[in-house]
Amino acid sequence: MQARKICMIGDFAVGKTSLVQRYVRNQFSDIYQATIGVKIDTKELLLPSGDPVKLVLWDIAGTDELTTVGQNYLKGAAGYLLVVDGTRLGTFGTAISLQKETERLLGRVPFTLMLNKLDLGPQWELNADEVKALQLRGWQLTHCSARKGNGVEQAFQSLGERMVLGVRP
Amino acid sequence: MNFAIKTLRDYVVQRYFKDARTFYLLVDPNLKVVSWEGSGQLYGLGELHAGDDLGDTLSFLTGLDQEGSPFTRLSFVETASGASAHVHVAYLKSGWGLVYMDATQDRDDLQRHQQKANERALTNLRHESVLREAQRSQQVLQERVEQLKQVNRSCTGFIEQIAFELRTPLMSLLDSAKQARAIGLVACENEALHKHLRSVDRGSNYLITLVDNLLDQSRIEKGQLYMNPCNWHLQEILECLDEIFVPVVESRDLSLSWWVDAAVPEVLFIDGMRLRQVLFNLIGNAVKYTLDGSITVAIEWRENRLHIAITDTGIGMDKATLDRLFQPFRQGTGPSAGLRTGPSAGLRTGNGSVRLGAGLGLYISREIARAMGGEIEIDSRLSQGTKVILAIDAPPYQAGAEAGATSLPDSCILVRDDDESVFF
Repeated sequence: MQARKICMIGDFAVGKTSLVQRYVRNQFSDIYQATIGVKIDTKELLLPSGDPVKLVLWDIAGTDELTTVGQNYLKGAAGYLLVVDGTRLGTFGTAISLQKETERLLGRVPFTLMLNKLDLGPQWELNADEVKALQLRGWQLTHCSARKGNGVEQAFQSLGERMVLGVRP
Repeated sequence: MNFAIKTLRDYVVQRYFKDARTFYLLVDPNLKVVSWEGSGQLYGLGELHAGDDLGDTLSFLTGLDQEGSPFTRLSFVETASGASAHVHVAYLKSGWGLVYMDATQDRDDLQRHQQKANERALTNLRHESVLREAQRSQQVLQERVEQLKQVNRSCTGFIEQIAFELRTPLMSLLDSAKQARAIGLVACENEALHKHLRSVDRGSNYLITLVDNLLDQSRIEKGQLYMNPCNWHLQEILECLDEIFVPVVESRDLSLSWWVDAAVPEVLFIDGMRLRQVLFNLIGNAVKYTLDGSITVAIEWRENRLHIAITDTGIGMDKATLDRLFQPFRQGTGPSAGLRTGPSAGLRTGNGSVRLGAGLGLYISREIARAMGGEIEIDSRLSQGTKVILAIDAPPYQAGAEAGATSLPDSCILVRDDDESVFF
């Protein structure tokens, strides 16, 4: 079975670990636990053709910039998920900055911007115009909630397919 | 070997190799075990046999098979057992070489510190968010306050305009009633006619007082309540008030007594009209809410200030009533509620109940007292009477400031109108 490496990237406490937990184990915990280093999980994905692909998910500690250590984690990634906490505007800017660094290291590989914590809608701080501007630049975006599960499966599935089928990043 | 170098070497070996529980592993390109050294138990790699398939355990090697950079160091990798390891990976043509070094303790220490730091940062962000929200709310409220102030200014202006429009014909009506009564006294002995004229007189007076209160309230709102102090004989003011209230007091089982301290100067530099207005309100209240017993007005003068205490044996007030006593447009429900709004606020009807007016009397009285550099204090208990103390600045006679002289301009104003009713 072919395998692909996906990295979870984003600022601290945006919900990277929770998204992986929701996708791999369909679980969610309200207790925040800062990730140190990297946690690796796998999940099998079925392509539209019926062929399976093993996704190797690297849940990397939250950061606002890629250190040398962080750069090592990205090595060999076929795609990545940029995670933003919709209730913290600062994490949106961090994601944009991290995307630039990641693209410099990995080249143009598929990625998806996950706007997480959709369940906290009333506290949403993101500017709709800025989000739309990224979409117009061709970014793949998804609104999701690790707590409720909305949009999580679809984001991983879509990225997995794009990585394997080689569609545009 | 130099002893120091040997010590240093032993320390490094101990710290980074023996304590690190280093585990070496060699697997072929299909991730099948070739050989190993040390115990892999800590990293979920115990009980190994040559040829074991580690495809699932070593899935993290996916993508690292890059010939350009065969060596990779991965820090703090969480292994299958939950332990954390620094993993050194070498991509070889014959397979993979891996070195595991325990980092569990370091990971746990770091996690504790990072957890605290992140939680603190999140708390700060939440505080900032709450602060921003509070600032936004404050701004919205400020805008609403400004809007309401504007509306209030418009209302005040409207009321003032209406009051001005009403005052002139009312004064004319009052004067006409007085003249008609004077003529009627001579020409007609019909008691019913006199009764009707007196009724017109009372009604007009009441309406004029209401209109004057509205105008005063408007001046207070606009910050234009100015005093015109000049030399006034206090005795004149008191006599005027006595003339007004004695007939009322005598018609009931009441006594009104005045006590003026010998130290009170005969002439004071005050706005006598305004003082009379305030005392009319305060004494009027006492008369209105004292069904029987006594009302005493005691006047003292200390350090250029006039202290006037009006004490009654009336129905008094509870604390709740006292708290809202000076609010404008607050109307009571008559003596039974113990709420006072000023004598001008109501007319006693035929059945003895009180018909309440605008509820401005005490509010205006207090504002006037403040404009005179003073204050009104009220001490009262339900069923135990009330004591009102008015204290104002009242310096003694000042040369060159005769009564009325300072308030009137040197020139006169000629008023002309086609409607003769405006002349009074």
